[in-house]
Amino acid sequence: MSSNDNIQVEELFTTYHQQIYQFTYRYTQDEALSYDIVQDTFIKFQKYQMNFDPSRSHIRTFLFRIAYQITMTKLKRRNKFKKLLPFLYEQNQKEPVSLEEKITIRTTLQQLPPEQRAVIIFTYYHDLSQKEIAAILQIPIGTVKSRLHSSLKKLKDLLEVDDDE
Amino acid sequence: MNKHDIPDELKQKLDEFEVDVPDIPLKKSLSQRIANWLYAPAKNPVDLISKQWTPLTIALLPMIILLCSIPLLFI
Repeated sequence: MSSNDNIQVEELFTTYHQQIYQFTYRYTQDEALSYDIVQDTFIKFQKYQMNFDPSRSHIRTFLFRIAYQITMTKLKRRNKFKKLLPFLYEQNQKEPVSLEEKITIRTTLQQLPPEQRAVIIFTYYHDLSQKEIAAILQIPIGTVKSRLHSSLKKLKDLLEVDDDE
Repeated sequence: MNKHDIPDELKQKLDEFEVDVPDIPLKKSLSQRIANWLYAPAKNPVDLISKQWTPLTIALLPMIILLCSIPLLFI
């Protein structure tokens, strides 16, 4: 890899690593995992940057797509390990949760189905368009719209927010 | 529907989820990874004894004890 490529990756890392960490942390709520995903995203970017076509998508979309794919892979792997060696993992879902805890946004986001959670995080916290979200998640725009609608409805119900604003 | 269609009350709740970003180096460090793994919260082993006796657990227990005792050989 040339030094120009290295400089470019370092610049991209400086610009986007915080956004990627914030997305993965809100999605997984796991600090160590999010840390790893940020680093893996840029390692994978270095490997596949020749596939990036600036005329087709923004670099942020490309990086988020890599980060999302890595997140999915790691979570699937973790779930397999959980099934195989359940005693090595925390079982938060079995812990009693107080009423106050139940209505916090963190707990509520974790209660959303994963595909709806990703859409609401990208829309609200990262201000991405539905077209960009569709490109990241590799789904049609219509699916993004319906997932956003469902996730907002569920969030309002869980957080007991009025719908009449 | 987009961000601007979200009710203000829901926006306030969403804003409560702030994320502090740690210092992350671009290069991966093996020692950092091991440290992350070691310091990740683990389940209380007492809960394991009281709740988790599956056939697989019983079968793997001798292996786990053996692996855990390896460091003792170097003391």
